[in-house]
Amino acid sequence: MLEIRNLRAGYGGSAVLHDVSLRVPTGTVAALLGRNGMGKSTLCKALMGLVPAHGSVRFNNEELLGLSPHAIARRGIAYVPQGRGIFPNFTVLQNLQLGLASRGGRGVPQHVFGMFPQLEPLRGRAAGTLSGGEQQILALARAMVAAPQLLILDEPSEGLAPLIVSELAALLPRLVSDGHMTVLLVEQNLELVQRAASFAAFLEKGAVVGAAAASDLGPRSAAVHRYLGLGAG
Amino acid sequence: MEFALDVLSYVLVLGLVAVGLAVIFALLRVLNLAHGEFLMLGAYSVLFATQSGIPFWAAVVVATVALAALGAIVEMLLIRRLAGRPLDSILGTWGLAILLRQAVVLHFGPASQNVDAPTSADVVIAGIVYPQYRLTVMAIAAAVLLGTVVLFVGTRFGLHARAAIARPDIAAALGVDVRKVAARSFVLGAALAGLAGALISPLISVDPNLGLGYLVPAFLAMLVGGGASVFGVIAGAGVVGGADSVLSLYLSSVWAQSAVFVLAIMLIRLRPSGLVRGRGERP
Repeated sequence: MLEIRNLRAGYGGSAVLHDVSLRVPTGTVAALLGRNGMGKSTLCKALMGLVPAHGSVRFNNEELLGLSPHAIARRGIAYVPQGRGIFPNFTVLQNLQLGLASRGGRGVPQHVFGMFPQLEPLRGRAAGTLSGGEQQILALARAMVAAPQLLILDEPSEGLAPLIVSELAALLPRLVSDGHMTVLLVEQNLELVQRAASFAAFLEKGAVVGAAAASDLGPRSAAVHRYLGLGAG
Repeated sequence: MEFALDVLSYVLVLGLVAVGLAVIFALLRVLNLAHGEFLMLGAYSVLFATQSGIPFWAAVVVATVALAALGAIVEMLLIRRLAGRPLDSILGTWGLAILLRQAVVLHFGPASQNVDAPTSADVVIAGIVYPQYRLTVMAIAAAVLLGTVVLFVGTRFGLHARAAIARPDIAAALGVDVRKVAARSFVLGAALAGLAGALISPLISVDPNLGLGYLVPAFLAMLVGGGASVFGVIAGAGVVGGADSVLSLYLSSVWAQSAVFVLAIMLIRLRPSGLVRGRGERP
């Protein structure tokens, strides 16, 4: 269980998150929706210890706030940042090996290539030469190398072709299907959220202002209209 | 031929100093102005150890380990607090350099001193008679540089260090303890400078201002080569050290150094990311 309470965070003197509270049950894909500039990426960074934050973030009954980013990663939390955060001049294999930093071990587990077979023939390629979709798969695979208990995805559909987004939508529920892993999906892509998540919370001006079951998130739903400014209302 | 070997010897030693400086700068964003003093202390460590009756090669090992230990202490007490603060780090390490120089003046005096080479034998290479000790220094420096390259390119530590250089935030979020990697790199850099000072101690006059003569060309080598790549820094040491040696044949030392500066500025202008692009660099 991920439990965020009264989280405040920002950069320097300017606060971005004012009061974020959210509970994400284990074994679910939870989405966080919001327009640009509402603090979604800042929330991801705050969860990973990459920006100063106050309040409480508990995961599996352990307080994460105050821990350094590597210590948070070593508690089974993986993060795929917006823009993917791959190392373009490293090979695909080296990028995957970096995923081992949080759990130790020397070799990339073979099941990762089983899960993402398209990466197997690309092992020796420089990651920067991959297509956008392949880079996103690589970023996801690198996170999965660590066998995380919580996976934080910051706008994974950004810049991807609809077909790749569709594959992603099919993949995410499979990741949590055994009930051990949790996914926090930060997105603007309503279709991906509808297909992959079980529920969504809405972030507006640095605070969680509402939540809805993913099945209720049609383009004409009141929540979508109100918080994302989409649909006919 | 003899001149070429002299140049190669200088370039390899400069490479040791410059790689240490570059690794520290790349990981900590700290320009360590005390790096030359680490080299100077390496030379004085050998002087002190040999005067105490320790055999020369054991003294070289002692000097390297001592500078690694000093590096660990300096990292813990000073550098860790200055990381990410470029101006403060310049002032802090400059202050440390003055402190170390004056400590050496107090203990050993301001006059230059000499260390005896472990051997005065010569060897004949391609018809040239050349000091065996200089060749040994070259072999050790080349082997250590190669080892450093292997460390950064072929090991888990190196992968983590290169990731931390390129994107410290992403590396940390992946579980890399960036601070520990940086601390270890600082210790490595100090040890390399100490080893360089220890190796050259029989070839030069050992005096408290010895470090400055290596800090400036090492800094230029780092800038010219591209600080994000060990290969680049070694290439930079080749360019700066080679140009300095060749120009010194025809010009006074002041004009030669000025010409090296001009050359470095031109190269930095033409290739701002360095002669060799770092493998961990952002696009």
